Amino acid sequence: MNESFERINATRQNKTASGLSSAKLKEKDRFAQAFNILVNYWEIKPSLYEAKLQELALRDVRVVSAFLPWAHVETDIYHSLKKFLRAAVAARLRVRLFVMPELGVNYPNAGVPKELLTNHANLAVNRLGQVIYSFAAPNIFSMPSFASTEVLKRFGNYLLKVGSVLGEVFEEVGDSSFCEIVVSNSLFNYYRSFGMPNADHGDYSAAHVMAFRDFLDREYKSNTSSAEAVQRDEEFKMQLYEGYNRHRFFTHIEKLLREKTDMVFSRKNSNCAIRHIDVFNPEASPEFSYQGLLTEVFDFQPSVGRLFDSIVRGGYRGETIFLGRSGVLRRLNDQERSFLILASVIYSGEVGVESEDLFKLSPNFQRKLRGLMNAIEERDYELQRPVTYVSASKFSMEERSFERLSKLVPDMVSVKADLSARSRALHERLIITDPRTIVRLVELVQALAVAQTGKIVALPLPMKGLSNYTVDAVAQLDKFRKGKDPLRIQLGVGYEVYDYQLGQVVFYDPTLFWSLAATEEDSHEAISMFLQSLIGLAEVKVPCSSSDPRVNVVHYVAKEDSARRLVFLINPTHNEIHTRLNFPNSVQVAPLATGNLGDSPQPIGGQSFELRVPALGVLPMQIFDIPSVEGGTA
Amino acid sequence: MDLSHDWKSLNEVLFCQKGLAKHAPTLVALEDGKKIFDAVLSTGQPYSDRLAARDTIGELSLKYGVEQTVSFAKKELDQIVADAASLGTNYFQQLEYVRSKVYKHVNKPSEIRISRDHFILRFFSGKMASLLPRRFNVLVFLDQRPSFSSTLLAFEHRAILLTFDRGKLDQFFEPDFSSLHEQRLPEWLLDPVAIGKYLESRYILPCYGIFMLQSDWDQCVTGDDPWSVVISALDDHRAAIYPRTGLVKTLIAFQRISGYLSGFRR
Repeated sequence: MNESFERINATRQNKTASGLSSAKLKEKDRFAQAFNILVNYWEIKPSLYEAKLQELALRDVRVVSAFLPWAHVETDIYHSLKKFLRAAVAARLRVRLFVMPELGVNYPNAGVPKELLTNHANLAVNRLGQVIYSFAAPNIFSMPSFASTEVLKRFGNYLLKVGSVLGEVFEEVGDSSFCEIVVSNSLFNYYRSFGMPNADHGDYSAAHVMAFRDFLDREYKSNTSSAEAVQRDEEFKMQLYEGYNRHRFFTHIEKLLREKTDMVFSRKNSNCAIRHIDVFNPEASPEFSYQGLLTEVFDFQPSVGRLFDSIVRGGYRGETIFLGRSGVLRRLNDQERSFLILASVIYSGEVGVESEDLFKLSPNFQRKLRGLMNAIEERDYELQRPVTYVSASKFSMEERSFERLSKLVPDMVSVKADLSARSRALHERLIITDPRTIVRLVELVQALAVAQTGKIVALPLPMKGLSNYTVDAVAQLDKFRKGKDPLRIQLGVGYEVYDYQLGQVVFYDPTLFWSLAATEEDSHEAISMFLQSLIGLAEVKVPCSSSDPRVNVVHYVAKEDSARRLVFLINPTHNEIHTRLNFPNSVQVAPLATGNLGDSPQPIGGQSFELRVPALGVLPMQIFDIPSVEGGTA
Repeated sequence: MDLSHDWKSLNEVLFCQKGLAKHAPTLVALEDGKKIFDAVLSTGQPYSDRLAARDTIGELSLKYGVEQTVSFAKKELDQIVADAASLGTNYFQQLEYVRSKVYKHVNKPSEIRISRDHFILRFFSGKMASLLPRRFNVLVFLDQRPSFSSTLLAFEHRAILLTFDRGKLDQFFEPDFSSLHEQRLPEWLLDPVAIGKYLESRYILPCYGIFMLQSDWDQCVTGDDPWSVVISALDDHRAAIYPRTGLVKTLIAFQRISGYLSGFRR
C-alpha cells in the first residue's frame, strides 16, 4: 500500500506541499486519504505510544492523525508531543497534525486556554452582541475570537512551540517527510448562534471593528482620483453593503490566519508538508447546538437525520467531517455511527474518526469500507459538483437563489468564497456569482479568465440607482461588451450571454434579488426559471433521480471515463424505503461489489429500476452508459 | 493524562455507552416569542418544523406521535447555558445544572424522567455523604476478561476515579497506575487493598473502590437492581470492594437485606 497525503477530491486542491517531492505525493491509497484516523495522544500514557501505534500499524493503518490541543501543548511538561512523534517514526507511520483549535476535541474548552476565556474582550459575539457558546462536549464554554490581539498573540506562541517541537524531532530523526501539518478554518465555521440566518454568520466582537474599517478602506480604494470613483467607494462602505463586506472580511481574516500559520511551518527548521482543509464537526454546528444540548439534558436519542443534514451542508462547503466520540455522537448505536461515517466519506471525501471508534465497528463494516474505497480508487471515481456558487463567504449565499439551486441540482453544487483559478476543478461547468456581490475590477477579470477556459460564468449586471460595480469595473465591463452582440434572454430574470473564447459569460439583472417588493411566490418562480435556464445553458444534467425524496442520490464519475459512474443511494431514515431510480436514458446498473474478490454481479439494463434501500443504508451502484434506445423497468 | 474532567471516560466506564431506557415518546420544544424555535424528540426522529407557531404545539405532538410535550423559553435556556459555562470544565456538573434549572421551567416536570442517574453516583452523593469524609475518591475498576485470572495474559481493564466533594461529583478521570507494580492490577481480586492503598497515597485522599468483571458491571448498569448484582458477584468471589471496614460491611449487609426484602415483596 503506498502512502499519500494528497486528496483525491479534485474540487479541493488547495494544498501547499512544501518539502515533499511530487513523486512521494503520488496518490494511491484512497483509504489513507479519506480517513483521518485520530489518536488522542494526550489521553494515553507516553510509555504506551509505541504499543498503540504498532497496534494501528498492524491494522494496516499507514497515517495517523492527531489534534494538538492548544492548552496541552502549552503545558506539556512530559513532552508528550515529542514522544508521540518519535513513537510514530519508530512504528513507521506517517503523522498528520491538526494545529488549529477544533470544537469537539476531548480536551477542556476544546483545547483553548482557559485564561483567554476569562477576559470578555477575547470572546466571539454574534450579530446581536451575545457571546457565542459551544454547547458540545467536553464542556460548555464561550468561544474565543480570532480577532482579539491577545488570542492571536498567544496562538502565535503556541504555533511557535509546535514548530520548535517539530524542529527538534525532525533534526533528531533526520527527516520531516513523515509529518504533515493540517491547517484548517478552525472556529470560523461555528461563529454563529443557532436560529440566526446564515447571512448573520460571523464574529462581530468589538475586537475586529478597527480591522474591519481598515479592510474597507483598503478594499474600496480606487486608483483614480475622480470624484465619481471616490463617491462610489464611499457608498460601498455604507449600511446597504455591510453584510456583504462583513462576510468578505471574515473570509479575509480566516485566510490571513491560515497564511500566518503557514509561515511558522515554512521556517527552515520546522519545514514540512502543509495542507489546507476546512474541518466541520456536525455536533458542534450552530444548527445542531440546541438539539445536542437538549439531547444530553433529557437523555434522548440523537437525531441521525439532523446530523446527516449537517453533513450534507458540510459537503456543499467542501469540508472534512470530524466525527468525535465524546459528545452526543457517543449515544449512537453502531449502525447509526457506521452510516454517518459512510455518508461523510461520500459527501465530503474525507472524514476524521477516532481510531477506537472506527475499529470498534464490526469487521464486516470495516471490510466493506475498505472494499468501497478500493473500488473508488480502482476506477479513480470522484464526486463531481459541476455547479459552483460564489459568495462573499461560505455562509453568505442569497437564500432564495441558493435554496432553489440546491433543489434543482441536488448534491451537485458547491459553495466557494472566491473566484480565483486556484480552486477551479475540471468538471466544473457553471459558476454563479451571488447577486449581491460588489463587482470590483479583480472579480470581473477573474470571472473572464475562468470563462475563457470553457466554463460558464454568471455575474450580476451593474444596476440603475444602486451601485454594485466599482468605477474601474464598469469601465472594464464596457470595454468587454464593446462591439459584441450578446444573446439577450428574459426567463424570470433578464440576462445577456456572451461567447468568450472557450466559454461563455452571462451578465444578469440582479434587481429582483434586491427587491423586497416582489412577493415571495413570484420571486421564487422567477428565480427558479432563471436558474433552470442557466443550468440548461451549461448542459448540467442530473444523471438520475429517486422517486422518493427521502432517498438522497450522490453521483461519482470516473476521472478517465465519464461513461462509468457510481451512484450512491442514501437513506438517512430508520425505515426501509422502496424507491424507483429513474435515468434519462437506458443504462446498465450493477451493484458495486465491495465484498469478496471475484464477486462481480451481472449488470442489468433499463431506464428505471425498483430498489429497496435499507434503513440507514447506503446502496452503491455502478452505472454504465449504453447506446440502447430501449427503455423499460427492471 | 491531565484531564480532571474526562467526560469521555466517564461515559465509557460508568454508563458503558449503553442506550437509554425507553420512556414515553416526548417532544421538548424551545419557544422564542410566539414561535417554536426548535424542538427535539426523544425518539431521535428529526424535527423539521422550525419556526412553527406556538399554538400548533398540539398538532406537532400528533404529527410526531409523542405522548408528552414540554416547552420552555429559549431566552431562559440561553441564560442557563451562560451560567453553566461559568462552572468550568466539568460537563457533568454543567449538564446537571442545566437539568435542574430546566426542570423548574418545563410545564410538567413530573412527567419527564431523566435517567442520567447511576447507582454509584446516587449512593455516594445521597444520604451516605453525611457519613463519609468531606472529600474522597471512588474507584470503579473493570476487568474486561470473561473471567478472573491472576496472570497478565490478555488482561485489559477500564477504570475511572470519581472525586466527590461534599457529596457532589467534582472530578472524574482515569487513575494513573503507572507507579503500581504491573502484577497488582491483574490480581485485583486477590489483593484489592494494594490498589486502594496505592491510590490513597497517590492522590492523598481516602479511597473507596469497587472491582468487578465487565460482564457483571454491564448487568449492574442495565438491570433494575444493580446492588443485588454487586452482592451476588461479591458472594461468588467475582468482585471485590475496598476498604472492608465495619461501615462498609454494615452497608453491604443493609443492601443485602433491602435486596432480600424487595425480592420478597415481588
